[in-house]
Order: sequence, then C-alpha cells, then structure tokens
Amino acid sequence: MADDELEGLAGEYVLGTLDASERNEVEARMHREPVLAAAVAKWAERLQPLADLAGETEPPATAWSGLASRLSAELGDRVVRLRRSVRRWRFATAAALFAASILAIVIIGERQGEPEPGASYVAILGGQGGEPAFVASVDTEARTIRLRRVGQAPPPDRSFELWQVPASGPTVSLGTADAISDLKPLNVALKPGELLAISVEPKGGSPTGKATGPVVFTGTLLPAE
Amino acid sequence: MAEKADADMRAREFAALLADVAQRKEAAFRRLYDRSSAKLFAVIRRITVSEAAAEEALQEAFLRIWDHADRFDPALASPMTWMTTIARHTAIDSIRRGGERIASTAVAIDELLADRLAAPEVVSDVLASRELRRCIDGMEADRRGMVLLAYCHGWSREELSRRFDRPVATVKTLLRRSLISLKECLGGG
Repeated sequence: MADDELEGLAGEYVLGTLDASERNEVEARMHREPVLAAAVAKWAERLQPLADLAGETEPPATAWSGLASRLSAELGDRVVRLRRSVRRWRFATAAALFAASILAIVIIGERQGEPEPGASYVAILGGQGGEPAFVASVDTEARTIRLRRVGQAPPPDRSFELWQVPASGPTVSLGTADAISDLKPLNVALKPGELLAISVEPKGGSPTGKATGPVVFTGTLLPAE
Repeated sequence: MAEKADADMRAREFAALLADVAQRKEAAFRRLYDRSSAKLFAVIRRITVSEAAAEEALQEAFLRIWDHADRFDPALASPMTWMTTIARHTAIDSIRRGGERIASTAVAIDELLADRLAAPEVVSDVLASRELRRCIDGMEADRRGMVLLAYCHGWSREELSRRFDRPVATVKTLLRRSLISLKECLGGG
C-alpha cells in the first residue's frame, strides 16, 4: 500500500472520520500489519496534545460502580451460559465432559476474541452441584497452566490452591489460585484424563504441602482439540 | 524540564498498571481508573451529546481497556495515548449509533485553541503541544476547522461536509492532505 495512502488511512482512523467498514478493516489489519499499527500509534501521539486540551473532568461516582457491576456481570454471563449447557448435556457423562471442554474453549475464545494459542488440554473445575468455578488450560509446549476463575473469589482470609491428583501417589501443589486469571509455570507433566482439584487453604496456601482444607472443585483434563 | 519528568513518571506508572491489568489484577484496574478517568472522561464528554452517553462510553472504554490490556505495546505508544484512542473511539461509536446528532454548529473553532492552551499540569508534553499548535495555526482555516472538529468533537465526514459545504469525497481528500502536511510540519518522523 502506497505510503501516503497508509498514512491517510492511519491518520483518519485516529481522527475518527473513517466510516464503519473502513474502521473495522483498519482494526483487523493492525493485528497482522505492524507497519499499520505503528502508523496509527504515531498519529495518536502526534495529535495527543489536542486531547490534553479537554483538561480533566471527574466522572460521576456511578460511573465506577456501573463499571464494576458490568465487569462482574460479564463474568457471570459466562457462568450462566456454561451452567445452562452443562444441564442440557448432563444425561450422558461422557458427552457432558466432552461438551464442557468445547464450552471452555468457546468461553475463553469469547473473552479474548481468538482461541488460546498452544492450549493442549482444558479442564472445567466445578463443585458437587456441577456449577463451574474455574477453567484451566494447559499449554504443554510453553509448559504453563492458565486458570480463569468464573465463580466466586475465595473468602478474604483464605486462598484457593490447585492440586494435581495423580492416579497413584501424593497430590502435587500447583500453587494458589486467588486472582481472576493466573498464568503459572508447570513443573509437572499433565496428561488428559488426569484430575485437578482445588481446596480451600489458609491465606497464601497450605503450610504443609498437602491439602489441609476441604476440596471444593474438581475437574478432568481433556484434549483441547 | 519538570513537566516532561512528570509525564515520563506517569507513563511508567500506567504501563506497570496496564501490565497488572493484563494479569487480571483488579486492584491495579481500580488504581488505573482513579488516575486516568478524569482525563478520559473530559475527552469523551467533549464528543458525546449527553452526560449519560459520556458515562456509558467511559464504562465501555474501561471495559475495552480491561479486555485488551495485554495488547498494549509500550514500544509503540504511551499508555495515556493508547487509552485515549480507545476512549475517543467508544465516544464516537456512541454518537454514530445515535444517528442524526445535534451537531454543535455553534462551536467556534477558535474556542478550541483559545487560552485553554491547556494548563501545564494536564499537558503530557509541552514541547509537542507547542509544535502542534504552531503547525495547526499555519493551516488554512477550513482545513484547520475540519481537523479540530473531527478530533476534538468527533465529527464525521458527513457532518463536516454539511458544515463546510463540500462533498463528502472532497472532505476525505482535504482531511488526508491536511494530515500529511501536519506530519511534514511536525518533522515527518
């Protein structure tokens, strides 16, 4: 694309004068074309002093409370969708587990806009009633496990702790899981069919290296494909 | 100079907060909101028609910041510029959705540049601000008007076409030519 044309497109994008389809095109291309992304960033910097002219205006207090509830509503929607789908497939456990793993990918995808690259296995960890609490995805290439919380946060004086539960031998701690999203390095090999569990521990995790509190969520690892 | 040092410090603080937000740390998100929402709300308010629309656009902007914090690249842009771009686009989305909006035809272009050549404490970069002011002052009146109404008030090509009595295609051409000459005036870098 001719230089001037790229600059014009990037500049009008920043000005805000592109029509809807032109703007969607630029936003899509920015991910693939570093030159376009850089041009847009440069235009934004060039014109930023005009934004400064607006000064500062305190937003109303309701702006934050509205934002906070929209954030938890979005997270809640994900749980409701998953719950409904899990109920529908509850009759066949094998089908339910398989469908749940697809839903996990769909939900992660919806949040980010694209599937998690390199995810090899996923698990939905839920309670006894089947309500989902965490979604885990293991990337065997990067040797990481990502945990996303879709349920309630742990009580303020407690931590959730994640455990590998092998078929035989002791459970292995994979660390605490208190944030809404956690990316952890993985020092153990995890395989499909293995069980993950989450227990409630004192703040900071179990002091003994073994679960000291109740196991509240479990889930089985399934291949992502 | 003092303002530049302050601006650099704030950029570093925001970059660190954005990195934490990408890790889903809610406390960092709250702090980022506390530190930046007044600037972003002012930018949004200047574009939207109503106070209510501004509030909603501010929430939408911060939801997008939450969602895309992992995409912020400090090598490409400063944090405030990145967030401002998001905020302006949510405000523009809001007015474009609303169809025919009450175009503030009474806005005098000169108002925008008037003695509100921003108090130093809100200007990210005083030098950049002076440079841009010089280049904008050097523009032909209609072109200057188009650029300022578009950037500051979110006017569309159609609205500019009506205000300046030119076909939409001409507006597009004039905007692009104005942008190119601004870029050259600022040093082309």
